[in-house]
Amino acid sequence: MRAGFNKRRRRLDPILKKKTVPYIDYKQVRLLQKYITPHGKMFGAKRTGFCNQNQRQLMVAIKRARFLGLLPYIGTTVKD
Amino acid sequence: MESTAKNLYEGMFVLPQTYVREDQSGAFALLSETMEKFGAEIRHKEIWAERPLAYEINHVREASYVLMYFDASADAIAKIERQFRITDNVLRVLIVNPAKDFNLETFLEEKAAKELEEQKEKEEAEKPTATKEEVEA
Repeated sequence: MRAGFNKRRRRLDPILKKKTVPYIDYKQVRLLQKYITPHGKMFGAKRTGFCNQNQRQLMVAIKRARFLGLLPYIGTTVKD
Repeated sequence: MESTAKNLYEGMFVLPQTYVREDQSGAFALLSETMEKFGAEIRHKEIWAERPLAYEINHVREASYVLMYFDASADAIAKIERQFRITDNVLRVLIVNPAKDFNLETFLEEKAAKELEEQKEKEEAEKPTATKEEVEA
């Protein structure tokens, strides 16, 4: 491996850093919308910078929100 | 675990907006009657939001979301979900465990405090206009 390749530090988990949200919930639609593409696909952990635990919470929350019609399975996001 | 033990659950019900606007008490009655039939005790219920659906469900585009906190036995949850799945005017039902550190009492207190603040803000927003009119008069 090239020298310096592994030295880039991982960004700190944005949710843990701010501590504004104790738990990623399906009801926080505005928050969830930040972590999906315009087509409705979820961002991976590499993109979100979440730790594993928070990424899982995000996944569950997005799937629940999709089931309830708060977020799309596919297509553009609904504007308030 | 005993099957008679009751746990706190969070339920979200998706109903057509037109139905809820026409007959809100009837819609609430429909939900609570079914819940109580299966031995659930409702602790809190509210209309959480009224918003357009991200996709059409049963030709319905706009929905009202009813949030409910209730105590029920674990066995009852499947029955409640099954019942609502075959009920007209209920588009979706999601029953989940609340977040780990969730406390219903603090949730209700915070909610009441928020409502009070909003009321105060409203009153304050109305007050200056009234005084202006008085001044003009």
